[in-house]
Amino acid sequence: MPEVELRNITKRFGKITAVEDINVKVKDKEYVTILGPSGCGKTTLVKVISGIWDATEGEVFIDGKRMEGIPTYERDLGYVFQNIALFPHLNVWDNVTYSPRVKDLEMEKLERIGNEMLDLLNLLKIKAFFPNELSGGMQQKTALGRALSTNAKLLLLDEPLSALDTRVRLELRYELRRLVKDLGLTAIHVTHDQEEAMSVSDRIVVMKKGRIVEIDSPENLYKHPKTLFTANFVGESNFIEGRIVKVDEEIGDVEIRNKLHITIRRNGFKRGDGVVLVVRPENLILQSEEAANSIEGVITKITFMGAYFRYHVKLKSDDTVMVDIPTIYKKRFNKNDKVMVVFRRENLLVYAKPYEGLMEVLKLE
Amino acid sequence: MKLTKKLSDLFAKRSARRGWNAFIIFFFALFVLLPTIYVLSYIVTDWGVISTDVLSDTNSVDLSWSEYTEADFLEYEVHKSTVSNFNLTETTLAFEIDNNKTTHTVLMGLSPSTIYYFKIGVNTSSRIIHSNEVNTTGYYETPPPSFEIILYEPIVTKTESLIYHCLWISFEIAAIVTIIDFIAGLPMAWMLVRKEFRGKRFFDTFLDMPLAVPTAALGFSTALFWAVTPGILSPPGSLNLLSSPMLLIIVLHIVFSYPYMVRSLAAILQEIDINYEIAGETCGASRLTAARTITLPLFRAGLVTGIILCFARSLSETGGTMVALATLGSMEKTGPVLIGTWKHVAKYNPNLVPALAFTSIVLILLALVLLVMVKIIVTKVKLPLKKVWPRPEKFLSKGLPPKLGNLFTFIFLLFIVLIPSFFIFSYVATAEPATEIGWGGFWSSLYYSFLVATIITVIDLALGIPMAILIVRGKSKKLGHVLDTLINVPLIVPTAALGFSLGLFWSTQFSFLSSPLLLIIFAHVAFTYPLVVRNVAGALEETDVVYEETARTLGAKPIQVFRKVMLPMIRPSILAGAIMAFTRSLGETGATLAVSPEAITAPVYIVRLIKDHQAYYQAGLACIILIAVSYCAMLLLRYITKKAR
Repeated sequence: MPEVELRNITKRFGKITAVEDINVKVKDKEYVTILGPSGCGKTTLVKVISGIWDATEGEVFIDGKRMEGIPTYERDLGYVFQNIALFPHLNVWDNVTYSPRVKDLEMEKLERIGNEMLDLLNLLKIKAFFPNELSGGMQQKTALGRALSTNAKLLLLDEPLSALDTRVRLELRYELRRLVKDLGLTAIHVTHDQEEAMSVSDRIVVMKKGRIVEIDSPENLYKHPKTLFTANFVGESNFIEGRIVKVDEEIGDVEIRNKLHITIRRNGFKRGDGVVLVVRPENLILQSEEAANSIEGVITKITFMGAYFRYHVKLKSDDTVMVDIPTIYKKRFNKNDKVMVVFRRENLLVYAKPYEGLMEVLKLE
Repeated sequence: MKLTKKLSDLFAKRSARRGWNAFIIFFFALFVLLPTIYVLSYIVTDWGVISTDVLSDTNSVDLSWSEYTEADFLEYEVHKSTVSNFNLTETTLAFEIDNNKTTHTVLMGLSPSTIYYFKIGVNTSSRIIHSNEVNTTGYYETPPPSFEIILYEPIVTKTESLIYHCLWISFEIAAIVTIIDFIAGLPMAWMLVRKEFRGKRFFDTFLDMPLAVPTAALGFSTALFWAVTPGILSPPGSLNLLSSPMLLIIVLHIVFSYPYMVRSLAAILQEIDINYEIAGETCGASRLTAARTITLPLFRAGLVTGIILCFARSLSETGGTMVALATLGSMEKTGPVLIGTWKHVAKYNPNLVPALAFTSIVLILLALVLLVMVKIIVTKVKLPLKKVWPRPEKFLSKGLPPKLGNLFTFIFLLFIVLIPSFFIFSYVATAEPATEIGWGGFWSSLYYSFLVATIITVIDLALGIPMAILIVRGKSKKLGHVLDTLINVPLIVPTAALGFSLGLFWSTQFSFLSSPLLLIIFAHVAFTYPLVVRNVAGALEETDVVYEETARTLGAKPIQVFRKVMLPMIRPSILAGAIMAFTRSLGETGATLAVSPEAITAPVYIVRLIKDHQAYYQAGLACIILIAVSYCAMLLLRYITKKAR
């Protein structure tokens, strides 16, 4: 049963370090996503796992076995490529049965696997088509079939959906997760799309600049990100810098710019600590009337997003925050309206003000 | 500035552009395509002569004699008779030769059932000398020393079978060379494209080096390295291994065709996404299986280019082959060598023209048929791809076998290609210096070669780039396609046949134009023009038309689009095309010999030094000078094109 473990993996290309000191353990039948901005080294990781590249340092274990010196074709895995890479000179059937063929399985077995695979993916009708005759979605489905027909229990997906149209991408996402779970596979999926990561994975590995930032379930990552980087990269957030000026039994008082105040739940911070307050746009409330724990502001921009309106509000503290209000709410605001932005203490995440500065920490690269 | 503006306005007009395109096509048709295949018209117009002189059961005889060296020389007379002990008279005179260096000739149309007797007479200002008599019975007695001119043992062959024999040798050699090139070239291309290793850049440069060496020099150098030669031609390191002319020609042809094969294979390999192969490996295919079942089939179309380039190069090579054979002391001939030799003789004995025409026609037709066949075979015939042998292929994919393969490739490059190319340095460094013949002839031949190479490079660029644009960006896709196919014809036609055909065309159709220099230029344009067009067209196909469209939306006129947008993008290919054309012209022997025996270019001069004068040391030195000068020319060309930016 494939468990994948990376121990102290470092990969350098000349002077450039692509990934550094990576430690991850992927459990059997787990769907893990490696999420990060482009250039963070996530593709490098799957290439190292698959044996396409060798790690400069560290070790890869699949199923408890050390993989050093074992070439890709003996690692028993399926691999789906970002650019699909279907063999252009072979039709769908030959593509999907490539693996059984190169393993020299008997004809009946080969045909059984091929038919099962095409049936599973609903591709039987197009089995005689060549890749250039297929739509992007069909192509990637075929590529998935090709990877699955290896009969491997470990599936590596390198940005499998990013070459596809939005609509197809959404559909294939669910298809992917369904297949992995139905077939009881272990999947490692690389993506830069945080929505994709959240919708398919059991756990997400967030990466930045060749290092792991944090590993957690999608829900935890979204609700309680451990770092400012994750809070910014996974979902959207508002950031407000301030300083704790008073702490009592229940609440702390944070002074933000222009001597304005927001109160937070009491936590480990002491008086005088610099903090960053993080709040998701959907967790802010807009209203015209005065309210507790609110800051006054002016609406500078309104964008209709379908399910909700996004308001950009310039607060008196000179911070600009995004506020999302579901479309079904009757109350509408107009540009230049004076509004109160209400901060609810249970929705405020508080982080220590980073030493390098907020912008530096949020940077993707 | 004013002129460019005027030009730019002129070309903004559609009619002007049409006229220009028509001119380009006209030029290509009249100066390149038509002369190249003109000789084929001989089938229609002069078939009678060919069938009586060549195809009916007739013999030809090769005569050679000792040179008359006195200053009072006027001409040699070749006499033929059917009675023995004949006297030299008007009726026995076959033809005259007014050059005392020409001591070899061929007579044709001899009936096999008749015995012929031959004598050479020498006309001097004061007297007539005659040689011993030889005949076609096969009996030869060494003449007593009283003869001032000695006629050596004649070689009698059936004309038709001699032609077929030489052509067969050419095709056989070309096929073997192409196969070896492919087998040894594929791993090399693979290494260059798919592997990273220390010193790869040097490898890359070394590979092209033989291309800059004129083939006449390569022929001498390779023969010195491999062939069993007398002591003075065995410098330290010489292998003295090959005595078979066939094998020697094969190793020689590999030297200069190998880089072509590797380059074309590497170019295609570069295009093929490496992910296909990796995808294969993730499916459980070993490295070898993946390469064989995935990359190789994707290769096909491009494979044709490599095969045809190698085949055509080998088929048409003349100078190097002549030199190598002469160094070995062999009388064997390939098709182009036969054409070159006969053309030289035909200057005095016009009876050879039908045989020459026939040889050229067969060579051209076979080459064209072969081109089509290779294309069909490579694209249609299925390789055994479905079957897989997992175990042996897995074994060959890992550990020692691939390392051995790489080692073999490296050794091949070093010993088969590089060392033979430059072995001549070892010879010149160790040989006894000797200057039998003055250097004046060499310098003027060198000047001649450079003049021709420079002129044809300029012509090729000026008229080849527009042709490439017309092919790739022209309004009519069909016309582009047709031109694209036709442009390859001169590449396939062996240059000796091309030269003969071209010489025939210009001297019969436009005899006022047929000065040797002009003819040589026309001939060299014909076979180098496609090189420039191919290179530039290839680059144009690669560059997105969107840049030109953008420029046009910004208000650029056609000439401005060309100068400011297109030109900078395709500059490397223009340079590559120019270098290829220049070096090919500089190294060409076959076409030059076949067009006009009077034009002495540097390679022709070297061939003469070795063949006619056995002036080996001087030839060696001349080769080195030629190599050095062509290197400098290449660097200069590179420098100029860089500076033009």
